Amino acid sequence: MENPPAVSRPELIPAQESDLPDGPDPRVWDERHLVEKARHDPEAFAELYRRHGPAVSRYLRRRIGDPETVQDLVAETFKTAWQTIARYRWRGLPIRAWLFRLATTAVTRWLRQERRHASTPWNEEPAAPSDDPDGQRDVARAALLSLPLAWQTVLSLHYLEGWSVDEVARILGCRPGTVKSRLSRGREAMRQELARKGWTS
Amino acid sequence: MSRPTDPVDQAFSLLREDSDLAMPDPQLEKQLRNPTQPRRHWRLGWVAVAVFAVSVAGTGWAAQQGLLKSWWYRIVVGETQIRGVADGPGVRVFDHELSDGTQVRIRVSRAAGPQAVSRIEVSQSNEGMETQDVEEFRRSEPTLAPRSEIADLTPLHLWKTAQGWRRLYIKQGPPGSGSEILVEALDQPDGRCVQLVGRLPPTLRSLDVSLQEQENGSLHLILDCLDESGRSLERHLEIGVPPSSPGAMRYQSPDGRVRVDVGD
Repeated sequence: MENPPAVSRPELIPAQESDLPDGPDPRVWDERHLVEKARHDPEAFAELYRRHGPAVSRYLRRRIGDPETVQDLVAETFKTAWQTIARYRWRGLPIRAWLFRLATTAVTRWLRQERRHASTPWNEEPAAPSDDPDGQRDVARAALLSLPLAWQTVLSLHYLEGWSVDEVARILGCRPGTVKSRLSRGREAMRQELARKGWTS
Repeated sequence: MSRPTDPVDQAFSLLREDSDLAMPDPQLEKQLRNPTQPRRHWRLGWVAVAVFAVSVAGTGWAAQQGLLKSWWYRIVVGETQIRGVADGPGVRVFDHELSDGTQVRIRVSRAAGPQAVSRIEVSQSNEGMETQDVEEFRRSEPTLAPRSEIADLTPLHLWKTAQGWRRLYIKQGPPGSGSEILVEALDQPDGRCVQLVGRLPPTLRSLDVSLQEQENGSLHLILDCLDESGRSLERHLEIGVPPSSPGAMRYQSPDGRVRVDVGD
């Protein structure tokens, strides 16, 4: 019997010079240059933070809500980035995707801890949704946070942050098919959870 | 833009809108993304970059930010004791139910950066009644607070403990925000440690402070105050054992059933 073809992980293909557009895209070259510099130049790292910190912060805020926790997780994300950027290899994936991967790891770890400790009347259900957007948002976030972590992650990256299925797969290091399946099951679970919380269109 | 009809899309749309409110100035962001454009709007950006770059300079950045510094905590709730060590900034949350049904949530947090150090929040909830206590420690530069920040009528109180000299003062906040009662450890090797021990509402003005040291080392504080109508009244405050080092802190609930210790 023939051996099955080897499965390659989709995100681990280094970008070749020839992959880049003919006319140099200043954004790509600038970003690559900055990342190279940031390995040993704190000021360049600061510029990376300046560029991508707000996006990482928004992503975490959309998932968690609580500003203090978001601040901590942003700090943790950039701490890890600072410690590991020397080992980062340019693979044609934007640096922002790598930072989102680190942020996803940080938020997942935090949510796991929270779930372990949260048995509890303080994780109270938000009030039934009203016309008040803030109240509705709390319900929406509570519904998202009640889903399995893997589903939360793909739903957030795709629907909240606008990454494509392929990009989400590369960020998470899984296959696009896995992402599609999690998106589909996550959406359905989210729909049920919203209905359970009395969400009205 | 029309509102989506699918409930899931509605929910995500709302969550996206929430964070859109927190987005930075798009013009500034655009300028930062494209440095070849005129730098009219770069001023704020450069300030932010410069401030960050200063803090980043050198490989000690992470340590300076408190990102790598480890800290420990010990929590006693009823019969249960929890200990742990954490690296860098973070939050630890513990929920516990006491034998009488009281729900207790303890949140211990360590912020990044040299200014904010630690915070303990203890919430207790029983039959609809909820109370919350907050202990907060801050680190600041090894200089005394400017006299201008200290309420004019606050006498300076200094006393010596086993851990060193402490000073008590009241700092006026912005108009309408009340004032903070602070205890400061003066002779710490790595910076001044200021402990927020209480707050006065904006309707009260403090006239005098007296201290009584208790046998267990804690302090009983008596504040003579005036309210808005000029009536004199007393406020009493119990202060725990003064901090022995920046970042070290202790909380004990009035009934003694919850105790939290944090240290570097």
